[in-house]
Amino acid sequence: MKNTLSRYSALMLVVLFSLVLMTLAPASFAQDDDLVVFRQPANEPDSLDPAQGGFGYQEMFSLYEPLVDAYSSAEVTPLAAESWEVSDDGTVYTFTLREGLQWSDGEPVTAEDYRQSFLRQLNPATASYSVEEFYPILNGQAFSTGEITDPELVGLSAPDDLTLIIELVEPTPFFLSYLGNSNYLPVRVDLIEEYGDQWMEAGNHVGNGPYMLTQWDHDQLMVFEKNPFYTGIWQDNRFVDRIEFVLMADAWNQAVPAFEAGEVDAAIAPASELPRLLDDPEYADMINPVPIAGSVILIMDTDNAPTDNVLVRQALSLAIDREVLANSVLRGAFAPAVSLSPPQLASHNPDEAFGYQYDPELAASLLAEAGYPGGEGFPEFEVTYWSVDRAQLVMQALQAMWSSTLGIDVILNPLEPGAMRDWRISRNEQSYNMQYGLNWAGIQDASQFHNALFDPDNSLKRSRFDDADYVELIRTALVEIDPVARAEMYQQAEAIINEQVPIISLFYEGQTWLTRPYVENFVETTTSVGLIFRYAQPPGLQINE
Amino acid sequence: MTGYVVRRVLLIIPTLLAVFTITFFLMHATPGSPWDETGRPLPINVVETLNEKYGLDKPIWEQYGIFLWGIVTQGDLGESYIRQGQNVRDVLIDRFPVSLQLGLYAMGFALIFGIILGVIGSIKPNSLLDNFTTFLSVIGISTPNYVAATLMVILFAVWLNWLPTGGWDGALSNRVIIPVIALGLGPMAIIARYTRSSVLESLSQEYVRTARSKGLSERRVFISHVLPNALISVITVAGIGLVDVVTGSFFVESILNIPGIGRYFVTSVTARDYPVIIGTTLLYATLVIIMNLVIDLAYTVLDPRIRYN
Repeated sequence: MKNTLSRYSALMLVVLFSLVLMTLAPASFAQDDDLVVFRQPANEPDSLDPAQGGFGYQEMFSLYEPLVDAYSSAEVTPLAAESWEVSDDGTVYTFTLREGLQWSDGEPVTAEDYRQSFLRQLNPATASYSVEEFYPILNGQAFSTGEITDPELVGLSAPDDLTLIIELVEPTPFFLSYLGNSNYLPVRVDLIEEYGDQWMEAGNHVGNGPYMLTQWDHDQLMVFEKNPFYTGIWQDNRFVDRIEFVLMADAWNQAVPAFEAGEVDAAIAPASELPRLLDDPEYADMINPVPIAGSVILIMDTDNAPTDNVLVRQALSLAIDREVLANSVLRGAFAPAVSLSPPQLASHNPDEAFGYQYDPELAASLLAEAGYPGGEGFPEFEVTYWSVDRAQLVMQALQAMWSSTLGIDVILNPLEPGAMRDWRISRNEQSYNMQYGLNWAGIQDASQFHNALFDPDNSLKRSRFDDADYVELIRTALVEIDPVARAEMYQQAEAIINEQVPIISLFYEGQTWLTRPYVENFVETTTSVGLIFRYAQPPGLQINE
Repeated sequence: MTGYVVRRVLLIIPTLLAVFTITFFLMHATPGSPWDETGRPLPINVVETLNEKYGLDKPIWEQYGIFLWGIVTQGDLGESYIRQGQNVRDVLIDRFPVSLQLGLYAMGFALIFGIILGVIGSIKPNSLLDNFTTFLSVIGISTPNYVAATLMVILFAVWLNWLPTGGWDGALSNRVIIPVIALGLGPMAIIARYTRSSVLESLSQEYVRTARSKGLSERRVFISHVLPNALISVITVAGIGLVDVVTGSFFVESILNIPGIGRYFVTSVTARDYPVIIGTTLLYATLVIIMNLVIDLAYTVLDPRIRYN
């Protein structure tokens, strides 16, 4: 027995010794004092492939350079393309690339690289997640479905190293915005063939952006450093030497403690943390609310009673106190909706927004007019939504508002996100009452809130709203080249939706960022991307020391 | 004895097959598909290409057969659907050591402090000191490990700034302290309770009276006779605890950004990443089966009265 005991003691000593040893190691990531290092939390990217997505825009636009910048301002500005011309009919785009651009392995960036990358997106074998964004290209859709197999027939050509010509099916006024999107980034097709599935790993990955991937410890840390071969627009203005992405399981909700502990320079603050941070003098000044071009919406089945009746839909919308919802229930993290689409888009039309006034009395009388005075005889009404925090809060508040104002008791049907997606797909055939949803503008264009939500040919149609005049209007607007006329058409379209309310907006999306005082160089994008940190100054500006 | 071990080892095969089968069909019966996570519905031809690439277009029994055949013949668990290019077996090989190290440390912590607390409690039963250790044990048992992890992050990382909020720098860094304590707190409390009752039980045994009658000092009696016998049951509890800790670290690994299999498992389930779900489940199952066998065999070593035939 004595032997057994000493064996235990020995084991315990070893364990104890290791525990002591552990405490001796350094607490922070190793870093060089001479370098400017920016550390930010991020989710582990599923991929660095523009054809797959599942990555942050911050990562993508540091590693790759698109032809144009369509995020930073309302105007589309040059990046890899120095200039471009659009034919009078709006269907042929001719880009001239900047001279001397190089990949991070020193190879020249050519127009053919862009052409090959776009063809790769369309190639059925790639199974690109974003192939639909390439359908505006002439014969793009036919090539992607295998109807035609000759890439020469696709409207992409590169007559010389610096000229890229893109032919479109029809005028597509928002095509430049697509080109600035992460799907239209160039990749090295030759290296993808060489490395196969491993081409995205550090050491193999080659991009044309201002920074390059130098380290990727999966689920831990991803490091970018300056791309020494980069000669583009940011070349002499890159003031951050090293970007460290601290990879988290859920960077949107987990990063605040790391920020408070000084481990990262910026973090997203979830709504639940906001009240505490706002009250804390140390952090109150570090809070930056950033609007996002997106809306949280309720979609109603306009073919199914009772929401086939416009009066019912209007009553439901007018009974919602969006101020209370945004400011009390959600603690001021989001702006209450005043029109279907968010203010970043040309269609935003709060002046003609019948459905967006808060008028409980009118709401009640509209419901009475529809045949349900005081909610009497109102059929069973179910709202389906994701069982996540924010949706829960919102739906419970709305349930109470509708109950007290209209006298109707809606049934809440929360679903786990995966199940919600299946449910939603099944609703393409089956009827329903109401569903909770999000709609984001991936590019700064009104079509993202009208054609995407309401065109009967679109796969996203769910409200079954089918007003011939309206559909005609948005289809005309989609291909209208004149920006003023186009904006007017979308304004009219939005007025129709704001009155008919097949889909109602509750509030506009936003992010709340915490940034250290020395973090100055960030831009609020005009799309759903939110905030972007600039690791480089815009050219022509001096760096503030 | 050898026959028994061989039988037990052979039993692993049908057990794993059952685990694989149940997981496979449960997973496919769950609503949602791996291609749902892409943000918006994919065109039908893209979904078809993806299904074809990963064999999801085949009848479910054929998929089952192909998957099983790959595992049996090549130990191949396939490639992650969501993180394309990552081989599931390679990822598990990379990550398992992290979870295992964490689990071993947590159990080491639990054993040391659990036994100390238990012994302290048993010296004077129902004294103030005993009640205090009982209080600590109740707290340890009733605090879920993710709550403990969160509280410690707030206290030690955010307020006091002594420790980092998360991450992993290998086993010899102070990043492991919070997860080890968070994971070890529960088993520690259980071990403390077991040690206390086991020591009290041993104290009333005949051999203790014999030892005392031989004139041994009370201290000697305790260390040489009471504790070794009392610890037999504690060790078996610790074995089960190790499995719990290694397999139960999902939340702690997610909260503290530790790249172990727990975190990998959680993300794969929500993403419907079938190969990863199967791979991690089989790994956990194997671990549980092997630990159970080891514990059963440990009985024979620790307690000569137990024999398997």
